[in-house]
Amino acid sequence: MAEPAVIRADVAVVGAGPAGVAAAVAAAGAGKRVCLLDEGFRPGGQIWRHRAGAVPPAAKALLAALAGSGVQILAGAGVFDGWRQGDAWRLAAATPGGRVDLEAGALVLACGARELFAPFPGWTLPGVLGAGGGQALLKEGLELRGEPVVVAGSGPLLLPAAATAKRHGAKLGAVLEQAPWRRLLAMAPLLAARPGKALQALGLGWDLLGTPYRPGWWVAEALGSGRLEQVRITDGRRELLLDCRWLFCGFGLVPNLELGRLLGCGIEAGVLRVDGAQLTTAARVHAAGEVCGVAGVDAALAEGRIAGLAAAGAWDPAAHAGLLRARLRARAMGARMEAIFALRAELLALPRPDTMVCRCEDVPFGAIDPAWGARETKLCTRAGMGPCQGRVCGPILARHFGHGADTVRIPVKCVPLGQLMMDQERAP
Amino acid sequence: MAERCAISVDGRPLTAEVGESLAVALLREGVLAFRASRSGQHRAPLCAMGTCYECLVTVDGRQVRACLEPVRAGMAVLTHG
Amino acid sequence: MSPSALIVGAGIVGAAIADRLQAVGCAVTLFEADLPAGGATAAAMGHLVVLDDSPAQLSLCARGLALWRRERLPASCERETRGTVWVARDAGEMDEARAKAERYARIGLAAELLDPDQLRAAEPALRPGLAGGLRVPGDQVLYPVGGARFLLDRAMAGGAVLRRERVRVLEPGGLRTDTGLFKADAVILAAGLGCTALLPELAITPRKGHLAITGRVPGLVRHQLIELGYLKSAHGRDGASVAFNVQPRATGQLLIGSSREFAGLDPAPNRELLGRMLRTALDYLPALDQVPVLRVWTGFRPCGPGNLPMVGPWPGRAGLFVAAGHEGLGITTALATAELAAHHLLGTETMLDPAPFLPHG
Repeated sequence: MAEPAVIRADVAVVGAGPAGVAAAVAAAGAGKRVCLLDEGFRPGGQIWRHRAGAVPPAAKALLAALAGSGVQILAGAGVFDGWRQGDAWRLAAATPGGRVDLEAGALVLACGARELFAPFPGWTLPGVLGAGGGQALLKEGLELRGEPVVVAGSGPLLLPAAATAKRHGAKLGAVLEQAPWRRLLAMAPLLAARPGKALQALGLGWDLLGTPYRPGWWVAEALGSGRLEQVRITDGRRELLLDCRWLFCGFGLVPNLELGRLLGCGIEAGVLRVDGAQLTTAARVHAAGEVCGVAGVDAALAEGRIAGLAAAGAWDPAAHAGLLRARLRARAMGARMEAIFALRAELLALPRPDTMVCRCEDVPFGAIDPAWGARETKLCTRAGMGPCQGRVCGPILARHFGHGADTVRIPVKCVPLGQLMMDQERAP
Repeated sequence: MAERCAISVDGRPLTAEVGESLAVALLREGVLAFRASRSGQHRAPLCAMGTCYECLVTVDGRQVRACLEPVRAGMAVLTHG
Repeated sequence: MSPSALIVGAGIVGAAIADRLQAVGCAVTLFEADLPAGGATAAAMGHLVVLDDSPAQLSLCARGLALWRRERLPASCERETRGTVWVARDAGEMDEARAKAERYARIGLAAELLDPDQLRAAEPALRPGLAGGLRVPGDQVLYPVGGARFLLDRAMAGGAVLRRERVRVLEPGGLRTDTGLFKADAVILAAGLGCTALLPELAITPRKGHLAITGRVPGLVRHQLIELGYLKSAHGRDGASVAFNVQPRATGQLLIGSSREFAGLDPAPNRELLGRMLRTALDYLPALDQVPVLRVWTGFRPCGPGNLPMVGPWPGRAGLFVAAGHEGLGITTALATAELAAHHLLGTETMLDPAPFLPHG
C-alpha cells in the first residue's frame, strides 16, 4: 500500500482554465513555487479545451507562458478533500497513479463552472449533450459526418458551439435561443462598446450564415428510441419537428463551489465572496473566475492574475490599474449578459412526471412532493445521492422546487476507497 | 500524425488515437450506450467534462469517466449498456 | 374511551410505538421537532441483525427481526433478506463463532458455521487466510427512513396525529409545546438524543459513527459482513474504535462502516478514524481499493447508560414512559420495543421479559 506523495508548494491553484492558468503564471512570475491541478488531460479548462497540439489561438500566449513558468502541473487530478494543517492548507487529490497530497501556504480556487441543465422530456436520450459538452467533444475529435445537429438553450456560448459544430461537419438544423428578440437587442450597445467582442460576434454570424437562428424558441421534447432522432421545438405558440441526431443544449453555467464551501469560504449571492485582492473569507484562499460569478474568459483572466499575484504576496493595486479596469468591465458585461439570457418561465413547465430530475438515481419529477424541502426529498427519493453528488440535479431542484444546496461533505469528488483512506498521519 | 493503437470495447477490437478522449473514441465507433441507469435506460455522455458521470465505463477493472480518460494501447473497456 | 398517548419523537422507535399503540386502540399524538425519521434513523445502516452480547439483547433482537419479517413492506423500504456472515480472523474468533452458533441454536435461530473454504464460497471477495465464519441467513437489510415512514404512515392512516413541533417541557400527565399544553394518559419519550433535554436524569449520549457509500459494484458482496470483534467495539466505552461492517444494497452499492467515538455532536468527519475504518474494510475486502466512494457521513447513535435500551415506565413519574438508548440497534429492535411499550401501557402480551429493559431513575 503506497504512501501518498506530498507535494509542497507556496501556492496551489485548483483548476487549469483561463483563471487558474493566469493565477499560476502570475504567482510563478512573482518567484513562488506553484502547483496547478486539473482533472482534465491538459490545461485549458473548458473554453480552451483542445486536442494535443491544437492550442486555440486565444490561449497560445498564456499556455506558452505556463509551459515556461516552472509551474508543476498535475493533470488528471481531482481534489476531493482539503483542510487546514498548522498554518498551511492541505489538499488531497485523486489521480490515476494514486493519491497526491499538497501542502501550500496559499490557495487559488479557479474551479470554474459546469453547465446548467434545464430538463425536458427525453433529455436523457443518448445524443443529448450540453452545449459546452458537445463543443468539447467536437474539439477533441468527435466526428459528425453530416448528421443533423440542433443547438438550443440560452446564452453567448450557443453561437461558438454552433460554429464549432458546423466546422466539424454537422448539418446544423437550427440554433434556438430561448431569450426573445427584444432582450437580445440589448446586446447591441454592449457590443458597440467592445469592438473586439463585436468582431467576434460578426465572425460567428458569418460562420453560421445559412443556419436558422431563432430567438424565442426552445426545445420542448427530445424524441427517439434508444437514441435521439428528432426534437420538437416551440415558441410557445407554434411547434415544429426537426430531425436531430445530436442536440447541444446549454442553459447557462453553475459555478463549482464545492471545494470552496468545504474550505469554509463564505458564499454571497450564490458565489464565493472575494475582496479586491480576490481573497475569500477563508485565510489565504483566493478565488478567481466563474466561482466568483459567471462572467466569461476576460473576467477569469483578469481575476486569475490578481489572485495569483495576491497569493504570492505581490499584489499592488496601484501598479495594476489596467487589471482592475479589465475586471470591472468584464464583471459588468457578465451581469448584463445574465439579465439578457435569463431563463423564461415556460422552461419550468416542460418536464412531465416521468422526466428525470436525478439522472444518477433515476428519480423522476413525479416522485418529488413539492411540499418537501431539500432534506426530505433526499431521504425519500435519494435524489442527489449518486456519483455526480447533486451537481446536475441540485440546480434543477433549486429552480423547480426552491431547494437550497446540501451540506458539503467529503469527498467533494468521488474517489477510489484506496485513495480516500490514507490520512494525514501516514504522509511522510 | 498522431499515434494509433488497439484497444478492446466489450471484447471487440477498436483502433483509436493514443491520448485522445475515450468518450470520443467510443462515440466515433457508434457506441451510444455507455452505461445503463438504475431503471435500465441507456446513457451516453452529457456534460463531457467529468461532472455528470453518465459516461461511466469500466477500463481494466476500474470505473472511470470516459470523457476524462485518455486512450492507452491495450486498454480493455467494458460498457454497461 | 380509548387510552391516549403522546409520543415525543418520530424516529423509527417513535413511529413503531405510534403504529403499535394505534393498532391496539390508543389515541396517539406524535411530536417531531425536525424531520420525521431525520435523526439517527436517517444516518443508520439498516442492518437487521441478531446481536447476542447478552441473553436480553439476543431476545430483543430476535423478536425485533421476527416482527420485521412478518410485515409486508412496500418497495420504499428496500427490505431484503441478505443474511449476515460473521467473519473470523483467527482461531480465537472462530471459537467465538462456535459459541455464537450455540446461543443462536438455543433460541431456534438458523445459523451455519463456515470453514475457510465455505467462507470463500459464500463471499469470494473476502481475502484469503481468514479462519472461517458464521452465516445467519435470516438477517435482513432495510432502508431505515423507508421503514420508519411506512410505520408512521400506517399509524396516521389509522388515526394517529403527527404534530411538527418541538416539545418544550414535560408536565404531570402531559407536555407543553409552543402552541399549548397537551394532556394524555401516557407520555412516551422516544426522542433519541433529544430525551435528555426533557428528562435530565435520562442521560443519552451521542456515540458518533462514520459511514461511507460506494458506487455500484453489484455482486461483489452478497451478505452483510461483520467481524466477530464488532461487539468489542460496540460495548467498549473508552476512546474510539472501528469494526468491520459492510452491507450490500439493492442498488449494487456497498455501505461501509463502522466506527464509534464519543465526540459530542460535531458532524465533521474524523479523518483519522475514517481512515482506520476504511483500512479495516480494505483489509477484509481487497477489491475495495478501486471501488469509488461517493459520500461519507456521520451519525450519532443515542447511547444510554447500559448496553440495553431502556423501555418502560420512568420511576417516580406517573404516566411517563421512555423508549430510548438503543445505540446501534434502533432499527432492528424498533418493533420489539413497540411491543414492550404497548405491554407497559396497556398490559398487552409480549414475548419478551421486560425486566432487563426497565429504566432506572
